Amino acid sequence: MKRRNLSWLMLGSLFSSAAWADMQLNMTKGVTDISQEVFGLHMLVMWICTVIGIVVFGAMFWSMIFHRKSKGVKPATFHESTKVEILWTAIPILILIGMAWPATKTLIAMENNDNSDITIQVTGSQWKWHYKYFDSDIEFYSVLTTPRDQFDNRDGSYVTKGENYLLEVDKHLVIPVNKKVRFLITSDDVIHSWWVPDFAVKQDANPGFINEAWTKVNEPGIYRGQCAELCGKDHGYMPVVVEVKSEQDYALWIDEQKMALEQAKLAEQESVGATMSMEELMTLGSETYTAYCAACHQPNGMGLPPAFPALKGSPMVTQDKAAHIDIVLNGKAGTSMAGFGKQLNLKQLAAVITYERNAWGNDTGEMVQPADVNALSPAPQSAAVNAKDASDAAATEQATNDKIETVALVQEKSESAASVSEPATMEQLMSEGEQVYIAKCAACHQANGAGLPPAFPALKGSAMVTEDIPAHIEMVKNGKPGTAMLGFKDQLNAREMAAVITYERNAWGNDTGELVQASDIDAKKE
Amino acid sequence: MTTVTDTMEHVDGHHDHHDHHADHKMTGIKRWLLTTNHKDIGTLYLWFSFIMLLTGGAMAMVIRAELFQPGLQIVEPDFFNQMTTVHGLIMVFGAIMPAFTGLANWMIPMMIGAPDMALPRLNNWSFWILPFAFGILLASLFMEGGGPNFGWTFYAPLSTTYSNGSTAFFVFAVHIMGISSIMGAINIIVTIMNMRAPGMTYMKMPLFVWTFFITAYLLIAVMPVLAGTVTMVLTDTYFGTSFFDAAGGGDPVLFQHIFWFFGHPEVYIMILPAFGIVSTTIPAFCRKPLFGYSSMVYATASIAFLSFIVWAHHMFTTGMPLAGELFFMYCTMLIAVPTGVKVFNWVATMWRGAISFETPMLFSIAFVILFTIGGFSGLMLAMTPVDFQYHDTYFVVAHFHYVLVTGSLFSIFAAVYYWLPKWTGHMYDEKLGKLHFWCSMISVNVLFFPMHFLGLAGMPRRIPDYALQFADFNKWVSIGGFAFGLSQLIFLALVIKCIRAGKQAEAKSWEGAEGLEWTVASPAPYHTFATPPKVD
Repeated sequence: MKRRNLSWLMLGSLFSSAAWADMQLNMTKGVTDISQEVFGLHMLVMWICTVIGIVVFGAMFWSMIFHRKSKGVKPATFHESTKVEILWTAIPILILIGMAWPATKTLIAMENNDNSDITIQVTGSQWKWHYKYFDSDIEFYSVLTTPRDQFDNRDGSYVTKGENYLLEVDKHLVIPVNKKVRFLITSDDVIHSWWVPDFAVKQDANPGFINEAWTKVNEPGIYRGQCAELCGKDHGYMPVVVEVKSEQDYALWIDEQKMALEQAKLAEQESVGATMSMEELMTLGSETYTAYCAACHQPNGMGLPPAFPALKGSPMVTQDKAAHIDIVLNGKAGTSMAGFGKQLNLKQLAAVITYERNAWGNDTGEMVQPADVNALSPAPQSAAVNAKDASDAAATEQATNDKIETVALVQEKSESAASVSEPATMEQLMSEGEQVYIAKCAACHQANGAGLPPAFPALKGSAMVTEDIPAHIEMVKNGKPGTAMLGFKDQLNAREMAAVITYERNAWGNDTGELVQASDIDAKKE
Repeated sequence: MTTVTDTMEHVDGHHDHHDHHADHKMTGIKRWLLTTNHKDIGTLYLWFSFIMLLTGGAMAMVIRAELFQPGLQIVEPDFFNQMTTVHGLIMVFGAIMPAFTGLANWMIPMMIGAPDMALPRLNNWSFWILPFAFGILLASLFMEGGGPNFGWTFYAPLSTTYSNGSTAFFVFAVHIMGISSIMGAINIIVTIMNMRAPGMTYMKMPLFVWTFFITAYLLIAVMPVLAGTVTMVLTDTYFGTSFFDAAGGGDPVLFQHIFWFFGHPEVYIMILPAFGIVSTTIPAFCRKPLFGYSSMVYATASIAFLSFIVWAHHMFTTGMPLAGELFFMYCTMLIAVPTGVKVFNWVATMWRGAISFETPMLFSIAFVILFTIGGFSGLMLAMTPVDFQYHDTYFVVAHFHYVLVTGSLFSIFAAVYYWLPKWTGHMYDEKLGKLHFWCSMISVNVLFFPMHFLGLAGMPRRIPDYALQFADFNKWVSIGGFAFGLSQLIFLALVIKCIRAGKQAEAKSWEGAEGLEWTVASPAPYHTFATPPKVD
């Protein structure tokens, strides 16, 4: 009964425009200037069509009511009029021009991909999205998180579906508000289409080609969309979730991601040496299998042959171990089997391979350890201890190089002096430096300079910031390859870098008393 | 328009002729297998298309049952995709197109005063290869790995590198359908050009004949393009070519350009004959000549021409350059002009007529209104910036079902009701016909209208499961779908009843009917117009 009332309410709401937005009978207005223009165009055409419809259908119904044979009317005999034909050719053309004009303007604005603040590569693959931030190392897959038992009800089971059923993922794409974000969209396999209704962005992901799209969102929030191009079996299960954050939150998020990235890298290095028990491997393996493999190969390992072969009893997972590791790492070209080397960590890979070799009666009894996977990986990790040695060696080498370059630095200084502003005082540099430090450095090196060792070394008392000045400058400008330390030369100007370096050399009791001027920064050209 | 001077004496004359030749008709299954008679072949085409309508309809029922509520209850996603794919292929190539060819076979010779189609043996062949085409297609559903699952548009590389084993069967089936269509089209053109009765100039031909004439040209122009497309898909899949594979220097978007260069004229192939049908039925039941005959001819020709330069409006999201998007947007919007002219002409025909509402007229009126609604959503889809929101959603599904179901299919129903007395010699059961109409009319709108809302709210097409906010409307849509499917059984019962018995139909079964076909007896003799009639 309640349901029926709701239906009537919905019918009624057809006629009140305020209700349209709430009930989602109509297109979303969205949260960008473009999406609002698109909504406006949609309403414009719809009203034009409605008016034409009323006129045309009105005339039809008028004849049906008043010109019917049962009323005894005699039919007229007119059957042509060039004048009328010209009239109803010309008027629609004028209406069409009236529609085409604003549509053209909006389209031109939509296709203008210039001057973006951030670029993100969006890659579709069966059946998940991958996001890669161009101005940092951040990249990740975004995979549906709706539990399988919520949607697979073929056995008659019923599990209450969550609020964002089929529209929820493990990692949101995060972008800042009020910034022009450019998307470079492509695909690893078949054609997908990346669509977020609230941005009015829908762009196909074509394998082997890159498409552009952009958005500039006005309101922070979480916006959900879906793949819009049939891309195979699980086309309905690859949602897009975009989280729009304020600029500060976005910066924080970026820093967190970098930190997490660094930690994951360390964990990865550690896990090379780790030995996992069969129990550990099977437990983690089962979880990983359910999340990444079961959609195609099925929870019972029976697959959906021939496209998705059975793993139960398959020679692929019971015989040659190396071949098994290889197919999981790199996939198989020309099939739907994707490589998972980039998506899963060493432990997960080792675990899922072990699981496949022992589940469903495969019972090979064989274990695969992270080290086995690492040995066959295209980009193997070196063991954790060695990595530390290597980075120390690199630091020493860099310092030496920098000393040699100091001579050149002095010479270049005079040449570029003209372009550098007046020297600043210690006070100015310290106060500016503190601000820059808080914004750009404190997330990793911490506000008190103590860092988060070993990934993020302390600056307080560090030789790096108390001894050689050019080495310090070099580190801030260009970062340190292979670590989380980024180069800031594209994010900070010379004055800001000078200030933050001065700050680091004098804060937290470092007290070198040394000033670094903007001219010192500019002088050291690449 | 055409004035018919043929008298009843002529008709009696033909009748005698018919009796004289009657012995030549074979009996039993041989009559149908070996027939070269345009009426027999027309009948075969119409029954075949109805069987296909029910087959494709059954698949639609599977789709709607799965979508009745969120979650996967009945089928798994891969089978769902096979259902959407084969449903589309069967309805386009198996139901709508053969139904129109059947009508062309039955009616064109009788309308132009010709004794038969120009190429009768070709005619026989073009029908009898069709069951094999669909046999192959349907058989692939029962093979290991299942049938085609890449959508009826078979976009590469989903249909090539990433397909299951069904691509070869699909390709051969489409090849056979294409050969059948091309042969049918050649036959229609040759018949119309060479076999019109003396005095029937082109501009005196019934508009029905004109629309089939133009449609046949479209078919000859684009079916070879489809054949080329599927052949490239075949070689990409099995012979290592890379037409649509970037890794080998090809381009997956190239596929879409070639496919839609076929695909867009194809949708006009499925609607121009419908224009011809309602341009015949509306004047008949308004007892008033068609308004603006010559402008109707020119509008049909303009639509046919424009259909060749709008294909990329199906591809606005593929990453076309701005100039391309603008060109295809403007050209697509232009189609509204000749289409508008047609609708205005039909309304002007009804204006101050003396209208009666027999079943063919009901279906024709519903056609004009609902096709126009499909046209409106088409106009909305033409606007590139807004298309980014509509594209590949249920809004598009609503659009093309309004055009193809309440457009093409309703016009076919109108045609069958209109000519059934001529074919069977009996009047059909008018009450049953009206019941069929009202059941169809109501259920089809419950079925397709809410799809507009679903699409606008953001539901993508071709998904087996959906987010919870789409649940209510999907339930309505499914209920509408089941009701519409069941309503067609009324039609089946009506046709069988009409064949077996019914009030004897007069030669001119409808008061306002015009044209040569109404000058011969009902049922139409096996051979008609052995001597051509004279037309002023």
